[in-house]
Amino acid sequence: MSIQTTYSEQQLVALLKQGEENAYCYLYDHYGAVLYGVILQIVNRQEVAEDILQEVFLKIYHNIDHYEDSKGRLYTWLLRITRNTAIDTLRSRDFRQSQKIQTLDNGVNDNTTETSSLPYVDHLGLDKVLSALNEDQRKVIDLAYFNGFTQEEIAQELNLPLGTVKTRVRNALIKLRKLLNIS
Amino acid sequence: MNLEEYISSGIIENYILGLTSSKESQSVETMAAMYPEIRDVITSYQKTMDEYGNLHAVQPPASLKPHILNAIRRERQSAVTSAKKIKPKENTLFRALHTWKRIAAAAILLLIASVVLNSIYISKYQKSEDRYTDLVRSHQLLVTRNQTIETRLEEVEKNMQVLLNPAMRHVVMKGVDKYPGMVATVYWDPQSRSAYLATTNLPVPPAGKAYQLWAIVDGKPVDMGMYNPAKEKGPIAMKNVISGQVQAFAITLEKQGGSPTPTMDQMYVIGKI
Repeated sequence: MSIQTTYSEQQLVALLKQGEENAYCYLYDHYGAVLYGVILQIVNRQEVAEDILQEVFLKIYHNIDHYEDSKGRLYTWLLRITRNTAIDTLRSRDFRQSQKIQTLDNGVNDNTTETSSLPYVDHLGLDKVLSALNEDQRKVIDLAYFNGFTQEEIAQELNLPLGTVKTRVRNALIKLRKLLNIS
Repeated sequence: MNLEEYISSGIIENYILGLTSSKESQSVETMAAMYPEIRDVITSYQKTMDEYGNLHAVQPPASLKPHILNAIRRERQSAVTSAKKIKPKENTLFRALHTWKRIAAAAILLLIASVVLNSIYISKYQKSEDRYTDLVRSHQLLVTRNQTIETRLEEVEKNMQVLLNPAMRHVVMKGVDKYPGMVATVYWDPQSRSAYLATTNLPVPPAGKAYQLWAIVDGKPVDMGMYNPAKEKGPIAMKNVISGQVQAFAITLEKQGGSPTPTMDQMYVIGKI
């Protein structure tokens, strides 16, 4: 069932709307790992992350009709669903309780959602990039990209004036682009 | 704001991270549609963010993919079967009856069913016919509208081409003493020797009269064609100047169809190059 063809974003969305299984397969192959990575950033537990990824795909299946490409890229939309689902799980009572039990089992460790403790991420490439970006630049990017913060929310979180957030976003992205060698 | 200033203003980067308001995003998309430079910047940033996202990517366990695809398949099938479920039940009453009774009963039932179905179908047919006519009408409306928009777009594109030509000179003709405050602009391309007339505030001419554009070439007036402010808008292509040094442009009011030489006391605006 492997798919060799590539779709344009529009074609892919059309096929997803038709419920085409190949399209979901393609979606999984192309976005599954990134979305899974994002979920792990938020919940930090593999077996929960797997359940969430499945829930995300079912949500995509049920909601793809509401997606309009005029409103933004598919990736952005997928990211939003993923983030919301993961955050909802994080806040649910079941998750909190199981988290507590696990903490008891494991002693201290493992309770934080700090990104730095993730065991599964491709550390080599990521570390290189993150160490070259300074902390402030990384924060604005991550808050916007992974957490979906608005400009105002970032300003509040980092205690900065709006104008500074805007220029910092620009400098951070320019630097990131350079670090990733994108022309 | 020029293109470089726009690119370095930071709006594109904020757009990429989803930090712009919907109005700002729209402006970025419009600029991207107009300028390939901006499109390139956007694409490179999108690649950057995709790449950044990929760095955080974690390959899920291989067993998860079939699991998820199965879940979607189940979801789809349950949607299909729940739609199919409502089927009429078999009536076991018939089996107990004698043959002729069965036939008669069946015939009567068929008749009733056929009457009922017919009336349902007729009303459905009429409804769909109505809807079909509606659709055809709205489709035609859309097609016409689309054609209008296409024509206008072509016009606008043509005008943009004219205005964006770097060789284009911009000659403002100002009102003479008799007509202060009047103004008209000629876009003059000395390379192709073509001229376009735009943005005038000349009044609608009296019946039987029309405006005529002149180029003053080596001291002599040369006819550039007629112009009617009531009918034409935007940069209007005028006649080309075949040869000679163009010194100025002017507009006079002439009889309908134009004059071979300008009526000097009817000059409205003039502008030197």
